Amino acid sequence: MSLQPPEPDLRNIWQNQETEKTTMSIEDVRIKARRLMKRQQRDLIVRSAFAIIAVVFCGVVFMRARIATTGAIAGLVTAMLLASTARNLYLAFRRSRNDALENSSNTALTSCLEFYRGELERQRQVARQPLWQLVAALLIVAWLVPRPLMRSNMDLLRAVLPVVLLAAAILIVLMALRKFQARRVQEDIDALDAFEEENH
Amino acid sequence: MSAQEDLYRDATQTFGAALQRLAHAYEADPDKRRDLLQDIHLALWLSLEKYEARCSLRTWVYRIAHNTATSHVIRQHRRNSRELLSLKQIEDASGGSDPSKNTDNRKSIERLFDLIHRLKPLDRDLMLLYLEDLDAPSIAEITGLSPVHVRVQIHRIKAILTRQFHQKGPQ
Repeated sequence: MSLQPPEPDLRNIWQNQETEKTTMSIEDVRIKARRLMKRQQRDLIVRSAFAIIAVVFCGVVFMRARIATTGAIAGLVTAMLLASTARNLYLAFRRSRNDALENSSNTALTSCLEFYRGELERQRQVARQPLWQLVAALLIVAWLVPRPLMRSNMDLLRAVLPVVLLAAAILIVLMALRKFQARRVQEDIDALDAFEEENH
Repeated sequence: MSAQEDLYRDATQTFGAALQRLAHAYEADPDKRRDLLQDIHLALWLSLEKYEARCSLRTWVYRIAHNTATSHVIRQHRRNSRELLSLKQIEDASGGSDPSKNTDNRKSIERLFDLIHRLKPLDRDLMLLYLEDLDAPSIAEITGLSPVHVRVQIHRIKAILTRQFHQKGPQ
């Protein structure tokens, strides 16, 4: 006797399984969509405010600590950073108005394969980006911190050193984690490449 | 009533149950599943404002649902270390068939969910679209794979399901 293929039954069972009754009314969806758009704009404002505060703070610290050769250079750098932040803020605001809408319709126009690849590549970028930011931050801190401290007070240097070392150790662990994550994403991308090879 | 509302109502009436099954197949945790389903509905609602019938409503709905769920899986996968497998890896793995477990439909569904939750997003898309009874060209349109490749994958899915769910061996 030959094997009875079970797939049609399984498909039937699958399609007739009980599902929870969790429907959303049009009004619910509309309210949630409005909330989503407002939340996106609010997030943008908060992020921008943080960026401006950070830039101003850095500028003030640079000027007061006289780490730069002249105050004028520090002022110029701060002004450039502020201008760049303001420009990014304006562009982000312009984009955010239709962001949710654009994303959703793009999602519908993108095939699952393209979308999956796009998501993986975005993940890879995210996993790689902080690595360079962290390395740069670590180098700047290492270069800037000891000299003014040594100039002012050796005891202070001894007190601060463990904290700096701990921060460096945390940064190294974070970098290692990011690297591990990037490798995992890369494996998924490689598997997808092999899958696409099969497709052609 | 706006065209967006008409389309949304039409989509949820026709594909509402399929979307719930899809959410269940992508998320085992009931609370997260509810959130995922809401995200899918929200994405669907927003997207329908720009629907221009360049593809069928079914393709549109399934793409939104599968892509939103894929994002969800990738985010979750980053948080836990469970390795996801491809159809090929599952097909290559030995064993898996336990006829004693095949006592009723409910058990079959549970086992199906268990199998689907182990799959990588794209393989999961293929399996679900197959279970929803879509033909190879429709699956190809939604996934972006070639129809030939879809047929190969369907063959693989059938082999896996036969091995996992076949109640009695050849007599």
